[in-house]
Amino acid sequence: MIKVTNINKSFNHGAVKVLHDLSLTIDDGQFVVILGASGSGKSTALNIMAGLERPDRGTVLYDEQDIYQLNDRALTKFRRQNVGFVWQRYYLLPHLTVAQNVKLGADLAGNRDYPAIIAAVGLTDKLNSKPYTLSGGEQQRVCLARALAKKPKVLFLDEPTGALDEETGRNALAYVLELQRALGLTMIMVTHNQNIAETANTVIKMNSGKIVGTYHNAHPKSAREIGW
Amino acid sequence: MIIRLKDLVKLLGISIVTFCAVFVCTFFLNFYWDVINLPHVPADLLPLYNAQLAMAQFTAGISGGFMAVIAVIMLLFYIRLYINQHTRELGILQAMGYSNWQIARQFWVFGGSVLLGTTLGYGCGHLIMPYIYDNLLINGLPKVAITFHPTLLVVLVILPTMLYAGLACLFAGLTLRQPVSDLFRGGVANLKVKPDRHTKARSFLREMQSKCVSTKKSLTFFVVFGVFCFAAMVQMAFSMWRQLDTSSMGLIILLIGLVLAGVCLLLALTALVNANTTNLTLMRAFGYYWSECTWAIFGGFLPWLLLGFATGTVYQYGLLTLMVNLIFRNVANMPRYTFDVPLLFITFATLLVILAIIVASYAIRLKRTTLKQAAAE
Ligand SMILES: Nc1ncnc2c1ncn2[C@@H]1O[C@H](COP(=O)(O)OP(=O)(O)O)[C@@H](O)[C@H]1O
Ligand SMILES: [Mg+2]
Repeated sequence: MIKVTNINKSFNHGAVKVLHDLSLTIDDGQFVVILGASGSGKSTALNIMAGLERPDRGTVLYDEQDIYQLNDRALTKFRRQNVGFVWQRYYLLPHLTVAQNVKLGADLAGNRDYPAIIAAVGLTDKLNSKPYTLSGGEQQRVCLARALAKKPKVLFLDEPTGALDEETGRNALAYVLELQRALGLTMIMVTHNQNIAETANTVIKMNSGKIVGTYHNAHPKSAREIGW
Repeated sequence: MIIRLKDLVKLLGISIVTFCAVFVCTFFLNFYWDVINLPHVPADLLPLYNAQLAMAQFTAGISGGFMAVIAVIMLLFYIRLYINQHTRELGILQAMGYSNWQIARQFWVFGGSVLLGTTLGYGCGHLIMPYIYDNLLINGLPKVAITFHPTLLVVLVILPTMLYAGLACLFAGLTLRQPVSDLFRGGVANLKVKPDRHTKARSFLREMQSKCVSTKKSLTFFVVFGVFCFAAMVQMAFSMWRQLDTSSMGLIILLIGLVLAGVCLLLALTALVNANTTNLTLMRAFGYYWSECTWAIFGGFLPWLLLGFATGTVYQYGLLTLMVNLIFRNVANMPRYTFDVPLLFITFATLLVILAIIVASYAIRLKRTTLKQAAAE
């Protein structure tokens, strides 16, 4: 369980207040979507929940452990063992092949079976390609494989479909959902696409650094059933 | 004008290297030309006199030549870096119909860094000259007045500046001959796709290590040369100091060695870290420890570091032996020179400590960088 309590964050020495007393709880195995307009503080909230950025105030508990009580090395170890990331901008290593990029994640979990994950995202024939020779959707699937290869307990996705067209985006989402359900992952996705929210267990709406609403979907839809 | 002052500040390294080269050459060659015309050198002083003239020529030639080559390589390196970092702007200029040579012509300003270095070097060479003359001139010889040699000004300041400026344009023109589309893609043409034979067996960190070296071949040169300079000049300086009783020369050699090594190693380390900021931040986010990141980025250069250190050590030993046994062969009371083993280890340990400090300072900066910032840079 992830329990976030009264998170506050500002930038530029307090000049830009981004998050105000943010609190939320996420149960294991849930798919949570954080919905909000651009600039509402979604990415900042996600980064803080994932152990990437220290909040000014407030706590982030993973099963009773306050991760920001940890020193830098222990926090790194926490990320190593617990979290995976997918970003809108991919951040693939340009000089390395698809296989080597996925190995970045796989090695952290001592996972020697990474070709299976590349196969799961349908990129076996691109194993030895460099990222810039792939389409946007394929690059995003490499990112997904890289994140899953480290066997995270929680997967964070920051606008993973933001740079993709409808068809590609829908396919990428389908992959993610299928794998999330198969692996029983906790998954937290930031998006400004309202329709994607219908596939989630829980939807958290943000505006100007505050949570303005939370609701649950009794019957989450699949990626094929939603509008775009 | 597409090249801004900000871009030129980066070339300070070239100014520093050319400064050192011209500084050393100015006073040594001026001394040489003033002393070689001395009438009536007493016969008993002749061996020392000849040895010293040879020494002046030799030192000016070796250090000047060396540093001139380094300056050329640095110049070419920075031009390539500039072009790689500005492919979009340059591609737009090309697309608008500017010819390669029209763009390349602007690169003459890169020669400005050389002018700065040579002018300052020449000036400072003249400033220190009275002191050098007092120190170098053999007891018993008549006092030599410092004469101004216009040829030196031409050879050490004006010619090099023009030569380097011309070279900058030429090299820029040649580099820009890639098709516009390649430039637009951000120099993707540089990333040749080669089959990776080792992928299966190698860990990600090993892979990253070997890629850091193979995609940045020019940096191996700066690593080897920087470490070479450090090893050679620090050991030479202290040997001269402790064994050969020539402390003022030793001090100059030490300073030049430290400056050259500093410029080359900082250039290499900074370029490596800058090229890998996003990769490092990503690895940190995924949970790689800082020690693993450091190892991935810098570890591949370790064999090159050892190579630089070994050649530098051998080089200084050879040079000092040569000097003692050949150039100063006929001079009476010449102290003996033997290889200084403790000095070797102290120098090596010092180098490692300095490198560790530099790497740690990068770690502090990178720890505060988020992926978004890293990617925006
Ligand atoms: N490192 C930073 N420095 C200054 N301001 C920042 C920084 N990161 C985010 N912000 C500001 O915080 C606000 C929220 O950003 P972000 O969390 O990225 O929003 P979202 O992901 O919802 O678009 C924005 O106004 C942005 O300008
Ligand atoms: Mg965002």
